[in-house]
Amino acid sequence: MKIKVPYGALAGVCGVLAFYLTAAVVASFQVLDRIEAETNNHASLFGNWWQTLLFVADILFACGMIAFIVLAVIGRKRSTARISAAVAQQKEVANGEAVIESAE
Amino acid sequence: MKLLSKALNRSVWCVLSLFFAIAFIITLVGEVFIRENENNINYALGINTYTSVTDDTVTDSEYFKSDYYKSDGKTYDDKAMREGSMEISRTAAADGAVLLWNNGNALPLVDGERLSFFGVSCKPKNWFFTGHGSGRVSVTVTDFPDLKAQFESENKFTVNPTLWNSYSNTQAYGMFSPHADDNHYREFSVNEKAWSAVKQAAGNSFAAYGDAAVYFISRTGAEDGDTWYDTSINTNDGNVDDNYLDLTANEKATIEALVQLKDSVFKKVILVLNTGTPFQMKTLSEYDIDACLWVGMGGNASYAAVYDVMSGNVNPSGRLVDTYAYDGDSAPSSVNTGAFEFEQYGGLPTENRSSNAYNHAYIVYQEGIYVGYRYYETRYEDTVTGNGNAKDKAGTVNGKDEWSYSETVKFPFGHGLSYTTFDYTAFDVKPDGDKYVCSVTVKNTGATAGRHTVQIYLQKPYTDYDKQNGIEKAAVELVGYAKTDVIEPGDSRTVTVAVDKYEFKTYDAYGQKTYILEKGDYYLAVGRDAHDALNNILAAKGFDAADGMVDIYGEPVSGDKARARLQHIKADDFTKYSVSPNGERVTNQFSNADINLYRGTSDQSVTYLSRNDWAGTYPKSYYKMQARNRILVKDMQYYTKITADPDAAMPIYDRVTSPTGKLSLIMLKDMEYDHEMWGYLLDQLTWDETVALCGIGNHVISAASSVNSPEVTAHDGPAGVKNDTPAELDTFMAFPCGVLLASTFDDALVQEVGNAFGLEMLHAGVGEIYGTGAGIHRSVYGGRNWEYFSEDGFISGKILAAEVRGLQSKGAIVNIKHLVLNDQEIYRCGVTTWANEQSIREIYLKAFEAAVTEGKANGVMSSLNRIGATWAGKHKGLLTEVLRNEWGFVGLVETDAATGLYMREGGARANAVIAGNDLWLRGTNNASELWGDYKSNATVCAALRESCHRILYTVLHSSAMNGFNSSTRLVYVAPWYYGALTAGQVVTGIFAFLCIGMAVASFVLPVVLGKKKNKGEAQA
Repeated sequence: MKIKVPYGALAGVCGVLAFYLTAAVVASFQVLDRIEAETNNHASLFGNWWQTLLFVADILFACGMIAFIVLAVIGRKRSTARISAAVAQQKEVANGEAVIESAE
Repeated sequence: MKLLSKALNRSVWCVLSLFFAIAFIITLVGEVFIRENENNINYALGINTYTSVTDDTVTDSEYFKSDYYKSDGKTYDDKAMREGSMEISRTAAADGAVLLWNNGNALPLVDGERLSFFGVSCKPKNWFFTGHGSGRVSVTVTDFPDLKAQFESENKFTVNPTLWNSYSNTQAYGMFSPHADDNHYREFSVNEKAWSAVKQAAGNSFAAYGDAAVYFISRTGAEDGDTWYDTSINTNDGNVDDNYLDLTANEKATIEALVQLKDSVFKKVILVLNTGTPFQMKTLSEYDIDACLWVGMGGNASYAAVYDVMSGNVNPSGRLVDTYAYDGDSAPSSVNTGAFEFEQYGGLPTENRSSNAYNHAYIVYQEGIYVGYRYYETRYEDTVTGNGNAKDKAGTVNGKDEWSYSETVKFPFGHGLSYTTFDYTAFDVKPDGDKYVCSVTVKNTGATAGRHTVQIYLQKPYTDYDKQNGIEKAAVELVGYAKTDVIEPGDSRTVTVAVDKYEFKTYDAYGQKTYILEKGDYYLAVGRDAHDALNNILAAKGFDAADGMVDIYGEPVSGDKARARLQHIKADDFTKYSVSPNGERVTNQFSNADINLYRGTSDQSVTYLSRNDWAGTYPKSYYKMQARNRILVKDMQYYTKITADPDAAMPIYDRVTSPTGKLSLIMLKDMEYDHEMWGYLLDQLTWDETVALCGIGNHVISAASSVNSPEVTAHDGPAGVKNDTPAELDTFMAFPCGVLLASTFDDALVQEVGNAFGLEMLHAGVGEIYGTGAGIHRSVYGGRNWEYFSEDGFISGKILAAEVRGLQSKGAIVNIKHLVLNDQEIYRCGVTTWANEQSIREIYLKAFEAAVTEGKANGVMSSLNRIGATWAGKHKGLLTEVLRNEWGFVGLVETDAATGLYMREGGARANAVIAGNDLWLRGTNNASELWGDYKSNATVCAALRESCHRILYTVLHSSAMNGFNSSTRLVYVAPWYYGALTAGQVVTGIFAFLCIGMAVASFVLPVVLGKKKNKGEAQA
């Protein structure tokens, strides 16, 4: 049996995480910049390993969100096409049965 | 059913649950972070968390009054105050300007002259009103006329509009950090406009405005931005020697072109130098420029002051407070200026530059006392007298085989011309108690009225005892000065300068280990500058032009022995100055900073520069240092084991012990520091208040409601008040920079500037200023030279004391900075600094000493660097023995920005508070950092209590107490963001709960409803 992957939900989760990671990247930069300003310096987006990690994770989740949205849309289109085909097939079957019945 | 199915979309509710759950968690965790950083947030948002409630409104509680009130007598008149600031700044900036040369009386300008202004820095965006860094004040250029408007303001001159408009008012200069891993080094570029572009844009207009070509050149310096040039970096400016302090290729081309156009197009070429540190003179001096005026960085009054001097409204009377050499590298300190790291080390704390902990860096003050003119003039005397191989090529940077004064120094310390001439007669010196009173008659022999600066220099004998005990003596030292009022042509003034006999002492670090007074011949001389005074002394000693004496222009000269007086001391006196004026025995406190004395460097030794043998002791390259000795490694650790103080008693907290009931800080206003009531007051403090007072001080001194001590707002100095403006104003006031103030040689004038600065603080509600600077211009490349006064500690001290007096007269808490040996920016956060005690005391501490003993400074900022291996903030010898005990300092010691691990970790703080550091410039409320591990350590707690005592005493005598009387209560007002945070917690919590509920329902309900449906169908 083929498992149905909830691409929409995954896109949503990735979106939420990307949102908070973006906020974390910006907030950490602002806080560090404020601290650095005490010695007249400026912070960097990649000044610490964890800032880099946050940034990379942010990018990954943002990409994941986009990818899952695309997959969800493709999946939905395929699903719609499959349903349409099934409906059409059902109609054809129904029509065929009717022809047989009328021939009898 | 369909609707229910849609409403129970699992994906949507799961995602929303996640979103709100995270948001809820963030608000919960955020509260912890916000509470830990409340001080930082309040500083960023400009929030004061305490308000005072005063019942008794009849008592006059305005302890520090403004000079400017509106007609109601109560409301500050901010606009009038600002006008006062501008006026005194204009006077000071003009009086500090130094006329370096003036051939053919090119200056002052003649009424009616038509002028052409050259240089990108003639426009405000590229004119440095102050230097850069935290001390910079952002100037609003619409507050005053620009250069062109200023010069046309009295309709005396017309400025070439085509040329003026051809220079864009956009930032041309550059400032960048080339080493990403090292954020304490910057490069600068000028980006002067190419001459071809200038000529193309405005060449046709030159002839119509050819009375004078005025070329403006500016150079900045910055906190974290030494102008020491890394020649591996190409800024595309093409500076001579790759040196930012020399001309760029385009500047050179512009000057060459202007000089070529002289006579044919321009009648004269005038150069205006706007810098906070000496410009390298070797290229400039090649050109036939008619006049050169150094104007420093004059703040808001820059343009007005330049105009005043160039127009002749003010006759220049400023004098150089630094030596202007042909080459900045000719100073011995330049050999050991830069970025140096231990060649070998082991066991040191980890280098953690991202946390501002430079644990592997060092700097060695190998030049000893020979800083600035003390080197150049001493070496000059020795070339004349034939002492110490002075003519050897050691220290030459011009490729010559012999050291020559006139090829090394362009303008000596103290140099400055006037639009008139002055003559000296009747120089005399008379002992008077603890002083020598020097008098001289000054006559204006020219045709223009003007002020004159009288400078008195001292020469101490360089004895055999000195040679045996590693003592050095400069050939001349400034020991007194005075500035006349305006003397009309033909008029005279008899000027007296009292020289303290205290100046005759010398620090003997290796022999007597205290200050000594040696027998021998001491000379007091008057001179137009240090070199002139020395020539007068040499004349008195029997030397003349035949011995190689030259004037500042390299011409043979014989000096004037009548302008020097011999004072003979018959016998050595090793006890007289071994006790400080404060009654404390003076002895070595900085042996741990001297590589030759410190046990942690017993595996190494250094040869300090000595006049006994210039050739043999001049550093040939920077000192190479190692850090392997276990004592050094141990002392470099952030925390050293605390020795329990047997006298320390565990303080009482949060209890009213006074027999008179609960005390408020204001009630102790008239009580001495040692009055017993202070003990009762301190008993009322809670532990939280104690650690907040000492440990949470990011641009604030925390309030203590238990004793009704107010929150004090603090800002960076020294250029002016930042961030907060008086109610009626929305711009800031930048005062003339330190170098320019010192160049006035006018204590009274600088005190007035300090007074105006204090008024700006008072009107803006700012109680504490992180300034003013008192570092030494050890090298011309120091990034903060513009914030500091001079290469000389004596004038630095006098000017600093005057400014402090002015500021404190208006109730300011003034953190003079940075104590001490923080004279370069590279690696400043933790760099180990090595120097001998004589140079520390006689050069680098001298300004601070004067500010404390004469100016009664109420605040000190400890520096970021280490003194030897010990961070300045935990150097007990410095903060307790010298500062408090020897000098009698009564006030608070605050750290510089405490971002470095070595100064903010709990153990380091415990060491430091015991050493005498009271307050940390840091806003984080972290129990581990804030002595949480030492809550039951009586030694640390007693030290914290004493620090609170000092802080509260200082606050009590500041303008922060204005409006406080015995009825005043301090009420905490929670910042608005706590309400917002609570609302956020409630809202996100509810939404998270609902969403999770719906998500659960989306899983459960379809199952339940599906079963029911199936059951119904089955039943049907």
